[in-house]
Amino acid sequence: MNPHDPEHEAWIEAFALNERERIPARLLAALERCPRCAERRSEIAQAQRALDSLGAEMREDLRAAQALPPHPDELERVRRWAGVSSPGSAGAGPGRTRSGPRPLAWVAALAALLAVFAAGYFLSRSTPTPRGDEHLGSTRIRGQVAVVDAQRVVCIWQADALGDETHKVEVRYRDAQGRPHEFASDMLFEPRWEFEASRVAQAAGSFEWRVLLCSPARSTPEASKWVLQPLPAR
Amino acid sequence: MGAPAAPGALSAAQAQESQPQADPNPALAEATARFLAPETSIEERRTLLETARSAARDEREHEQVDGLVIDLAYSLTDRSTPQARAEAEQLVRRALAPGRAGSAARTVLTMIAADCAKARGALGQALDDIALAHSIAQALEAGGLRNSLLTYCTSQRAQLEVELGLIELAFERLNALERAIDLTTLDADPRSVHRVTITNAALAAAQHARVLALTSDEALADATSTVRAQLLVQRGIALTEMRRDEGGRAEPAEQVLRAALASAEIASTDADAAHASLADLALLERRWELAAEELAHFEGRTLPVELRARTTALATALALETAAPREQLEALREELRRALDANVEEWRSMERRPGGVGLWHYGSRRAPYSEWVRVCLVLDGSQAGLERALEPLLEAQSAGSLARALEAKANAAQVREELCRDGRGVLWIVPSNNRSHVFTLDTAGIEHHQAPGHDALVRLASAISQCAAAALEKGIRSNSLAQVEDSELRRAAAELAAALLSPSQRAKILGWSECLAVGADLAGDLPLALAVLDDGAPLGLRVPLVEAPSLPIAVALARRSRTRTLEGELELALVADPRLSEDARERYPKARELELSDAERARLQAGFSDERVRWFEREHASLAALADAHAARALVVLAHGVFDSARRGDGERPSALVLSPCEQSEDGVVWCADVERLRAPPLVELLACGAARGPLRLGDDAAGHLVGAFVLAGADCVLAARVDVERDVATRFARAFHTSLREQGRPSHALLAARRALAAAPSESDPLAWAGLGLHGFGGAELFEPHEPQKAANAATLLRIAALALSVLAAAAWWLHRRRAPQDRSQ
Repeated sequence: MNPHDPEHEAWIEAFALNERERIPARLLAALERCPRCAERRSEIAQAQRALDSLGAEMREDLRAAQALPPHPDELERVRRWAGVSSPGSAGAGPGRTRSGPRPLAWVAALAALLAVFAAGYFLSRSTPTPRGDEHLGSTRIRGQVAVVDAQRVVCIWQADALGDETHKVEVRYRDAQGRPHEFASDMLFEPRWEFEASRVAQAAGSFEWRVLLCSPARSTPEASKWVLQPLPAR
Repeated sequence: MGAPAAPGALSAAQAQESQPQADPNPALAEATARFLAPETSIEERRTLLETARSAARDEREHEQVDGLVIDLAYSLTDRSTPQARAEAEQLVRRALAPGRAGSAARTVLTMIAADCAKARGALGQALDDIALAHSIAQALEAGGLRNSLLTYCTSQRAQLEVELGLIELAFERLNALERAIDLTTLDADPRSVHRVTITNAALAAAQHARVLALTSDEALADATSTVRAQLLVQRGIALTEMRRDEGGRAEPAEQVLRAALASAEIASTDADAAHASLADLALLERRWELAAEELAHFEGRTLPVELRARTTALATALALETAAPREQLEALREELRRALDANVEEWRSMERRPGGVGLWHYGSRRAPYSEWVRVCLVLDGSQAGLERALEPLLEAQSAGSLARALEAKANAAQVREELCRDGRGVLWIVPSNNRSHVFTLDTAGIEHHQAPGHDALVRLASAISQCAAAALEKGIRSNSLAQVEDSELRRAAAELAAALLSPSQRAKILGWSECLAVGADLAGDLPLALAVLDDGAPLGLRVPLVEAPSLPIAVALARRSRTRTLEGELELALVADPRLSEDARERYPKARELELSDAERARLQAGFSDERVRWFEREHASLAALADAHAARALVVLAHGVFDSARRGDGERPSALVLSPCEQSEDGVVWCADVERLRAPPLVELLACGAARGPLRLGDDAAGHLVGAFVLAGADCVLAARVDVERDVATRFARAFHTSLREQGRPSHALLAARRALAAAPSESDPLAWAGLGLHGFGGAELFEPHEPQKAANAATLLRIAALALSVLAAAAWWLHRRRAPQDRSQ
């Protein structure tokens, strides 16, 4: 079984940056156990370390550049910073040669660029990315449990339903050939539904089910998450 | 459908028999014997009752007298006249003088008082009486009699709720009774009363298959002949509706209704219901003569208000179908108008309930309005005829709880004057059983289109919902329906628009500067924003689309917004990220602290400068903050919204916001009743799940949820969702909404901008999330003076510019170096 659930994707970033309070409690433990998430966290941490070291180098070079004497001619200043002597000052400085720009200066320029882009990236990255399906509400359907034996499947759940709301269960699975199958209950007045286990092909190994809460006030029912239910060997 | 029979098991005779014999009281015994004699008239009974009352010496004998009061009260209420009912009520209330011990007879007396109060429209009194009867019964000694009385009380209250369209409350009450009492141990009579009531609730909820199960042969065999007839009528009505909605056969319904009528014991109310249903069925089957025969049963009789409207409507439908002469149609139009006036008068006389009542819940209540429109337009299809057709509909809307609280009334001319300015138009949907009427109103005039009936519209809306769910499952990530090429979803959305609107109406609506829609909630909450009116994008992305609970309310809100003086420095009050109380955490495990990021805060405040914004965050994000926010022009709430059916704030409205606890709200849960006590700013934005979600209250505006509560508190316009809202969607929506609101000034235009922005960059988990949040009320008022958009540069943008400048600089240095290098070499 692959423990890396697609739902983890939305939270990997928060996990890697150790923003644990942002991650739903129910997922935190799963993320910590997930080898793929751990690997991604280590990759991101490594990239961050590399970036930090480039930043340090850049700061050092900038300090060096600032130490250069001021000059009214800006172009000259750029040339000096880049390690290129002007024609009129050839041999003016004791250590200056005409051997071309110092490699360190190019690295510094590159690092500065990288740092600026990285800062921009991190700033824009603080704009929250979609966090999966985090809602500003509280679901009314909970405690979904399916009990499966050789003959019957019994689905039970809890729902804070109004008296005129009815329930419906939807079941889906893929058979051994990968073909999708689905079936549903009739309108239910109690949070419970039973069906014959033979309606799900044994070869499927598992099925998913969810509960719909149907209100006469709305054409769109409130749906629970799909719950994966393994099938025991018959 | 008639109410269940009264608790006849507790007649005076039985009450007398149940009393243990003690010291004989000859005066009381004689008065009682003469009172109970079949030949004694009601007038004589009045005198005998006074004699018995004077003769009674102790509590036991007073209870015996109570039995006589019950008998006399029943005799009076059977007359069904207001005078007789008033006398019966006076009689029982006198007998209920305080200081007497609780007894079975007093329970029944209190129930009779409740019935009388209900008949005169005093719903609050009726509910209080039933509650009192229930508490008296509960205090009685455990046993069969107590359980029977509890069943009667519960059924009486549930029946009242069914009649008021409070269907879910009726079910909950009856289900609770079933859990508390083993109904199989009861006598046949209370058991039947319970069955009849729950069947009525199922009929009201359109659970027709359930009605058939409740009126099975087994149930019929168990019932007395009167109850059997009643159950048969209920079954017949369910079968008639199944014929109408699902294209079933008419014969089973007719057979069942005829079987009920064949019973000698059928109650007169049930017989009337059976004849009306048979007439309805005959019209569906186009059997005009049979329909006329059934309607003949009502001719020349004084009918209750609702039945009168229904039968007049059926007669009008028959006349229209058979192309009756103009004079006959004119006479029927006048008769129908009188019946509708009486209807509205009755509705207006009812006390307002906090969560509203479902005045338009029943198809039989909507059908008279539908036939009224038809006959008006057949007689006069001009603009004057259309205006005339709208008048009773507007009056019916003004009888809604919220409209009455706002004292909102309007005629067609006022609707056009107030709501159709500046290129705005009104789309009004009036669903009924067999057809719906859709009106468009703008400066050019009124246009009418006859659309499919209520159930067909609900099916079209459900098809969109199913297609949207299927598209989501398949992983469609389109930014709007327009770009979902040839999909089922787009077809369903186009089908809804084609059924709902004429081609001319569709063209008109797309040309409006703003569309104010009314009536979408009457047909399963039609997803108008998703409707595809032409080859382009859905309506919600083309035109600012605002929904109003009713036209009188929209007119009242438009007037209120126009007369409002917008002063003060504070533009935006933001209540966000509350700290949840322990109690709320426990009750709503999914609700938790939001811990807003800086970027999210920036989104919420987008377009508004710091000095014009006041934040109430974390522990300050409470009910007290909502109270402090009234000075702002807009109040934004970003918090969890819950739909707590178990703990309703005032017993009727489950919608609530979970905020931080404060003195006024210890658990931080803010209910509709809490909101109604506030003073709200003109615009309220509820960025929370399901703030516009309430129990089914057809025809009673938005009384059942937070939108209505904020409108009552003073808001002209409320941004809210009927569905769940994702956090990311909410803040992104707010960014676009606020930016546009500050630039353009009007909430309706800001809504369009926000929907477009969200559709262009859709949510990963729900590409149709842009349609979730909507404006309710009147959104056309200018809250801010429009001004040019400001290009506010944030830190990220500045850094991008800096990076670009550095790149150019580096490139220039490299180019200079390359240019210099050969020169240097040449030197």
